[in-house]
Amino acid sequence: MQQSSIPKYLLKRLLMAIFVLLLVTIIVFGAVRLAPGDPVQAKIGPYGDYSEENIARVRAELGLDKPFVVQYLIWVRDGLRFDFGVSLRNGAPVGQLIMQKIPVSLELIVLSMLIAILISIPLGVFSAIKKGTVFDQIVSVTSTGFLAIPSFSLGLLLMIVFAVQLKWLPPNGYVAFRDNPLMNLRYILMPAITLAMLEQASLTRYIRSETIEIINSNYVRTAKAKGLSPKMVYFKHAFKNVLVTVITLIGMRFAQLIGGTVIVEQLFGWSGLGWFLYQSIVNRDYPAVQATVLLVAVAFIFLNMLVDVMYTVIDPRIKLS
Amino acid sequence: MKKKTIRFTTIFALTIVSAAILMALFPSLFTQYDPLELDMSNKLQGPSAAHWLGTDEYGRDLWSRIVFGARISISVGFGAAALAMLLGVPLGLLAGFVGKTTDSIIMRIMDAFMSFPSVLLAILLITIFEPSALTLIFTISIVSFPAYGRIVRSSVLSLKEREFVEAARAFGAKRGYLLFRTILPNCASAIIVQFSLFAASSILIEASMSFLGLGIQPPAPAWGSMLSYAKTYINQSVTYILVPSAAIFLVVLAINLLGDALREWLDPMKLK
Repeated sequence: MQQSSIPKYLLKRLLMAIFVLLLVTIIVFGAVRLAPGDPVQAKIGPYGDYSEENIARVRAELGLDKPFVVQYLIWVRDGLRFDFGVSLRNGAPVGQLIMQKIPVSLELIVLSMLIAILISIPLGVFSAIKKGTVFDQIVSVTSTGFLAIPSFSLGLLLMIVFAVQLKWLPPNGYVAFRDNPLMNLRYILMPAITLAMLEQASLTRYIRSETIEIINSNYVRTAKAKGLSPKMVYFKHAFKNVLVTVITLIGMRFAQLIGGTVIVEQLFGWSGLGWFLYQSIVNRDYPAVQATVLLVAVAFIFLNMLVDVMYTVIDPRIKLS
Repeated sequence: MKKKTIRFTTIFALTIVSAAILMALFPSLFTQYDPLELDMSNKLQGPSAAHWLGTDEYGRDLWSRIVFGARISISVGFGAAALAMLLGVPLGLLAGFVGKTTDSIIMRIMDAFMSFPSVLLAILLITIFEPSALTLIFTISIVSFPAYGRIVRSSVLSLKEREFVEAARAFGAKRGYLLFRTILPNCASAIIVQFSLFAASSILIEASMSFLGLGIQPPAPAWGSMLSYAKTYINQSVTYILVPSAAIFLVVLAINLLGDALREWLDPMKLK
């Protein structure tokens, strides 16, 4: 019974994701359509031709003469072909602009995630094993503290220390890795550490509580009762299960980080997707805003689905419902 | 020993939160300076006897801007958490109690709103409106109501199977009575704890939006927008960056700690 229900569950999960995706497109389309500012005016520009025929022509060109629902359907159809229209700012295809920005953000997100994992696994696991000790309390106080720091404050503090006082790192900017790997590294360090420090705080908390649960579980107690050394128990039995949790957590946090980069990229001038979104908002470049938000939401839904599916496949105890 | 540390952090949290609320209500009790008063001869100064936290790029007193800024942070933070509660709790109750198709529809709508990283959804929604405190409250509550709904729904689902609810049903209690008299009071502690956590996260989102220039507009002294200006003067004045940062940090930390304390106090069974 358990065996046959897995494909059924996957199908159900996929249908759910598609339905949610549909709602997301409606939210994004609706929000941007409700936004102030006249796209016709933006297209014609301040010194353009405002005769009635020209306004009607531009409206037709932008597809605004059609009913709302038809406009939405056309937008979805084009979106499926990765055609999101052209940027109001420079006339370049939005899809192309976004494709250029994705690797830039991905580099930052992957690096900060990596740093966060390297910090939080040992901290989380050891504070669980040493629960109640001074070490555990220090870890818990620091992660509670980090959860209350806004990303821009942490970023600015790093900037004060490493750019203004010590002058070790450039305060902000971006250089592509293939142009100059060393400069790329110098620019990425502060934004990556900012994101990583905030990320490790919540990861450490999760890993700690998961590890405590696993340590108290029956199979670990059995392994201990069998007379295995604590080291063997922790590394052979417990740690494997901690890793399962860590993988699912990383998937979820990764998706959240895509959104979290807006502030940090803007602060450090790291010209990735978040920076691009911010510029588009400030310039009221609606096609670009629409496409970026939609793509991030799609990535988010996809990652969450992947995490869910992986979780059920890895851990058969999860109830399929 | 453990008990002692809990008490200390709770007292610390209570002090900070009540100070912030008092500042929000009666700012002029805490400072004699007008937060908008310019004094160009005293700009970007460090702490001094006259301005004990220093001044900003227009010579405005930083302490008085922090005090008056508390009104924005506290009202947006608590306002957004309250509105999220008003939206999320009924939806969660309905989804959990009625179940079936109603549950699926409500949950998918919440999933859709949760498919955006929170800052991103806030940014998307804020483009629709002119930035103001009310807009921020509305926007942030839209960001957090689905999480509220989910929590309420899951506690309703587990309460529905409990014996005392079964018993009430067996005695012929009507649906309304079951929902509001037996189930809702037992969700109350989860709702209250979430309220404090959402108030803290709302303050962080408000500060982030104001920092990006999409929230409270200058010259109003929002802590987040103070920092976006302080950034420009990073070479001249470190205090200008430290002061608003510390304000946000302390208030968010205190509300989170208060939430933890409430959780332990209201639900001693969950204490690990």
